[in-house]
Amino acid sequence: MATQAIPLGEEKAIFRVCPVTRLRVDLAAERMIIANATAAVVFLLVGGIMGLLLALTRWEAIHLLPATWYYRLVTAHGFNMLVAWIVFFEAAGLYFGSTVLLNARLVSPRAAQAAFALMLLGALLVNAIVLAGHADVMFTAYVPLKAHPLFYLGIILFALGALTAVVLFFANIFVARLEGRYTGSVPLVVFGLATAAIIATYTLLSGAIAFIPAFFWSLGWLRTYDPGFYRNLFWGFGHPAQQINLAAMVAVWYALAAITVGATPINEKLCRLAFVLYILFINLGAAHHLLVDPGLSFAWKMFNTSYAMYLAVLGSLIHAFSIPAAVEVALRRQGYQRGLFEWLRRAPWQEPGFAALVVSMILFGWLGGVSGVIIGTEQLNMQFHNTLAVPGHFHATVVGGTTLAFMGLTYYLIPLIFRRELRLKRLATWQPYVFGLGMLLLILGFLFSGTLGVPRRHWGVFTTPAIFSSLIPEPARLSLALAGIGGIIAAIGGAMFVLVVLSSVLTGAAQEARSLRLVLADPADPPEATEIAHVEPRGTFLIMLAFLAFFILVYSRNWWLLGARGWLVH
Amino acid sequence: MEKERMPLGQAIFDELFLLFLLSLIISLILYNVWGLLDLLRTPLLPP
Amino acid sequence: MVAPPRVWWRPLDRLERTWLLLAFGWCLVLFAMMPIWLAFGRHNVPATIYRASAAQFRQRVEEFVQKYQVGTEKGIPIVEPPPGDVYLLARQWQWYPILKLKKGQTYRLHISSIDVQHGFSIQPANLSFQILPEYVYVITLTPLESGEFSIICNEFCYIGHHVMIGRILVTD
Repeated sequence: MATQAIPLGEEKAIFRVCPVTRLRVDLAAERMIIANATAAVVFLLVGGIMGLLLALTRWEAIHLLPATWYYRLVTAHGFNMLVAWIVFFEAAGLYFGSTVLLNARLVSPRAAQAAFALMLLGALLVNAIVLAGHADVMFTAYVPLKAHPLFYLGIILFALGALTAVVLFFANIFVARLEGRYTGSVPLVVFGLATAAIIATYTLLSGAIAFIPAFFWSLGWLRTYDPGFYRNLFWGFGHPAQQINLAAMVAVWYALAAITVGATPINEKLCRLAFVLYILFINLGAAHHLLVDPGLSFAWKMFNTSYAMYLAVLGSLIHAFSIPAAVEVALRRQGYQRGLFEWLRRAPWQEPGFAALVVSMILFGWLGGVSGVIIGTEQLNMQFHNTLAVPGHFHATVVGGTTLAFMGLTYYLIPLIFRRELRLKRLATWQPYVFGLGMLLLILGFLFSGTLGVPRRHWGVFTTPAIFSSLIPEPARLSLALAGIGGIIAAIGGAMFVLVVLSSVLTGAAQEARSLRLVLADPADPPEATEIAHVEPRGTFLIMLAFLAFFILVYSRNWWLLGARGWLVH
Repeated sequence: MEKERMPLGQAIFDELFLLFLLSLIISLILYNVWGLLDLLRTPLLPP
Repeated sequence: MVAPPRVWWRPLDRLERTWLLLAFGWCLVLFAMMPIWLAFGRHNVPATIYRASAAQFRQRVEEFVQKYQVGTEKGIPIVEPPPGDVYLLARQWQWYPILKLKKGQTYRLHISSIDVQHGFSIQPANLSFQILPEYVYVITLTPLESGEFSIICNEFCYIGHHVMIGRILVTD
């Protein structure tokens, strides 16, 4: 009965067939993917320039910006990177996953255009109002610090647009199923994107619940807004927003592994279980920001900060194993069988997608994941709350992890979706390494500064004109300089990315894609592919044991450091 | 041709709408409602 | 990227199963550490909280300052209270007053803000707590070392945020 109400859009949608993947691409969907991806890269460029200026201000030997502009740009940088760049790219990813990968059509091109317009309008409004100096309140906008009403309105408009895109994603899948465009389970990458979309729904609803009263309060329609309530509601938006990135990034990791080495999931059940754990428990991690807040019980903090017994961490530990394992199994099947690590030595390190995958996984897991669990432990959080270690953690996850993975995928969208030849291939090969090195230094600089007590969002602990000294230990000058140098290198890596993308899109020859890989066509001396029924990822298992040992060591050390504090507290 | 029976676990994992509802319920109750109740239970400063 | 076989629900391999169990075991350790530390650790997050209006809290702090003031530094009163209830007020952009404490004694530090949110971060001991208006955070502190300590505000509290640095003196 319900099926009759849904029109078969075959006559309206116009498809082309991709010569490499044999997938059917709805041209309306393709246009929306291009629009969202382009907006994403533009905001990345703007936010990146701001990021460089900020890094050069925190490096107190340089101390580039005056205080007011420093705070203004922290606000704008946070919004442009954490919200605009990432969500525009995710919208592109959602359209890609729900149409191209399922041979399906975009159900409503008009709704997709409306979503895009709302998001663009909201993002421009926020930028305008912040840069005009009417919203120096940070990305978090903690009540009762008040911004101009248009600031809240801009965020609400953006969230509404993003919500429309998420609803369209589900509608596309639903209609594709009804029209019989795919049968059985959706591919794992689409399942990962669905995870991101589910988390996004809760996130965007929370955002509305947090910001709509703030909007009314800024207009004077609401007299008071409890700061504790705002923090609970805001972080229901702010933290899961980053978990959308996590889920989308993991989906992109699986995609990059498939594109660059032809990896297939080693065990669909295991991989999907990890995504289901995200769906069910990861939103609880919003509590990470409230661990030293007044008014919340130990039981609430412990249960929520641990995602109900670290079940979402378990999900990440599963992906951390299953993705390299899939790569290892694929490469071993191609004949790289010798020893534990021949597959790793002979992997396509020059292929930008593979480089981005590996660097992104290392920065995300070894630095971002481990620091996240430590900072998110109830008592350990007293050593880290609002210190520079927190940006250290999320630059490892969102920048080293998500942004780099998305950059890696963008290179493949250029031939497949933009249908342009990738130019400056050598630059593309080097880009993930340069960007990764810069982020590594920046992250380490931030983490060390944080453990020395340097606060985040602070114009200067050594250069402050305050009447008393901050008493921050001198070595923090070095760690802040390290972060500044990392920021410069990362900015170069970011510029390389923008250069490759722009020159390919604007001047690359218009042509149909010819192969999935960009730089390497085939290995120079292909070994004999072997027909083995069963391949064990032994090398990956060993790497994971080393990772676990590192995790245990760093985690234990932080308990020891807390126990050695010169002030007792309870 | 007899079709292989679909395992229950796979059927659940394929049911995105069910997972979506569970996710929303778990997050709203454990994080939002419990947290806001904690805040509401804060006593007044004793004289 | 490609669709899985129709039935993909199959048992895990040896290494997959081993890793899953190892990872889950580690997750349980991570979880257990928090209640264990609550029971045995000497550094735990304070859980005593009250509600108070800005005016009420401000009056409480003024009474406290008048009672125990021993001097003034740079216009801010220095207060030397006996062990027990101690008050500290956060506002744009000042920690009020300066506290003079004794090493090894235990104080119940009541902190609240009378304007926006602030961050109480005691340095170089490096312990941080979130301070909200309308909520009084009661932090039970015992300094084990003497000397000079600073209080950095580590929650952004508008453009004078970086000048909000306070002082605690601990004597033998």
